[in-house]
Amino acid sequence: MNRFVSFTLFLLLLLPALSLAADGISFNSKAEVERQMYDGDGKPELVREQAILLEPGEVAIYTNSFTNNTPEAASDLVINNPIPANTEYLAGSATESGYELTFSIDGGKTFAPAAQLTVADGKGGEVPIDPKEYTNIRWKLLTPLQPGESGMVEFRVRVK
Amino acid sequence: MGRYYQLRIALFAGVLLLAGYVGNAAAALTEACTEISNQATLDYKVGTVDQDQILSDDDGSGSDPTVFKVATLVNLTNVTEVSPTSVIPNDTNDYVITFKITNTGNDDARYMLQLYDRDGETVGTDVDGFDMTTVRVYSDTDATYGSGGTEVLVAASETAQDGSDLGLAPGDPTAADDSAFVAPAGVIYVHVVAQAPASAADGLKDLFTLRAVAYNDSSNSPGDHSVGATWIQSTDSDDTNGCGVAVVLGDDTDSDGAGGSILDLDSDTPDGAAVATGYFVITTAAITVEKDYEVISDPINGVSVDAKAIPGAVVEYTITVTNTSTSTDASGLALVDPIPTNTDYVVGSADPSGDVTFSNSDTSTWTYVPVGSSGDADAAVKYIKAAKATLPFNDGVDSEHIYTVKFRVIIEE
Repeated sequence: MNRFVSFTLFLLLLLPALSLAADGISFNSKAEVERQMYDGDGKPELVREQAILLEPGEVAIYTNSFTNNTPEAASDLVINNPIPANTEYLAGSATESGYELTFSIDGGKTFAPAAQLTVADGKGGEVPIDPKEYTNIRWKLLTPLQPGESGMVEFRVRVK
Repeated sequence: MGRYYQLRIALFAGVLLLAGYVGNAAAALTEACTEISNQATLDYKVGTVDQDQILSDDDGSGSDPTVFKVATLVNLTNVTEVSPTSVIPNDTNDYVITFKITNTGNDDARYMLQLYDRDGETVGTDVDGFDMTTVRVYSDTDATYGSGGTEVLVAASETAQDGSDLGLAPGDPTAADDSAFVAPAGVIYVHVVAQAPASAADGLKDLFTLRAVAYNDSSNSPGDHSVGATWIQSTDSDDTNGCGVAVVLGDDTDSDGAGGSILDLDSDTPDGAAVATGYFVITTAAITVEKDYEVISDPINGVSVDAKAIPGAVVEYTITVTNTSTSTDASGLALVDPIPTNTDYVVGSADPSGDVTFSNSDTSTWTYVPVGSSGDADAAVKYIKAAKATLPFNDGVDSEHIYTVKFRVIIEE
């Protein structure tokens, strides 16, 4: 027993050291769905599950998480996420707090805040572009990511 | 318990969302088993030095895209009847009602198609009340019978309540190749072609119900297709990976309105069936004719309400023709009346005079012109005919559907 405990401790001590050396910044993306479930009292609650099989029309929630495993601060951190094929972006679903959030409608060539993405309405004015037309989302972290610090951004799409 | 609720909610949400898509032809559903793949990039600097770009990973090891698949939606089948068809009795032309079957799911589907010639039943507010003759059934790739496309005679005759599989191609359950499948958003048509009966009353309907059941199993025999049980993964060669259990969705309303009777072809649970009923409707003018007479005058009383039908009396006949149809005009109306024996036509008495012609021989020649002054008797007139090009149907507003002809005779002395 003692031997097992100490071996485990050794592993636990070793792992962060290894990942620090190997990983630099870790960057994961997961896809989930939100299901309305009912607890034992019949109260509704939203539960997230891994997205495996979605019907057309269902919404997937993407979470991109990152951790700075280096001893240095990471500055000018930029995440670019193309909207997956056969899906469309759900307006207002992207994480905004702490980031400069911009979108692209030309496959990532140019980016602009949602408010500036407009199109001529044919009557001399401008109307907002339908967020379903967005092709990419870009997040710029406003402050450097310190060693050991983590963050995540989220957005939702609807399967066409 | 939780799982049950979850399924119900998921189904309900799916129906709502898909309802939006069905109305929009351009927004085809993402095909079953399509992989939805996501990969983000992360760039950063240390100090002012750009670092290598990092690709997102799905599970913390490597740099693999995050993937899920699109589920198979089954039984989003829509059957509509193009429009009722008006039928004129005794007409020898072919009449057609057309059903349109649309695959509103996201996977290839075969259809078992069953046609029912209703026999006196009520569907919704329509009652089956007569039978067309020489019924034939065609499948087609376009909406118009006889216009080309791939038109196939699938049933040379159709008997009442025959719900057997029409074995349509596409949709032939015994066909091994993909040609029998209808692609997502694909459409096939079924024409019911028939001829008019010799006679039938205005407004009667002959109802036909088409039932379509989506399935994609080529091994089962017709009639065994309960969709949830027999649905297999897409037959496309690039979809052989499979993507889990098919979701039987869509049509969960009792579209035939037949309740629980033996003709309840479509239950109110998602059952794999979609149903539509179309009909032939008789539209014919319904003519009634009434003939009255009134003695106008006699040699003793003169013009009087007391005038008697005695020799020398003038009698006025009034013929009233009424089109009681509420939908169909009558055309080419010809009203022929013999001048009664022992009476003579009173010259100039026919009203409306412009519609009337006379014969002094038989009913084939109508060139005779009565001889004498107005009010004289002309014994040579044998027949009187009133012709009216169109007698409108009864629109419930005016009396144009009623046509009145008057003429007078003198009783011979």
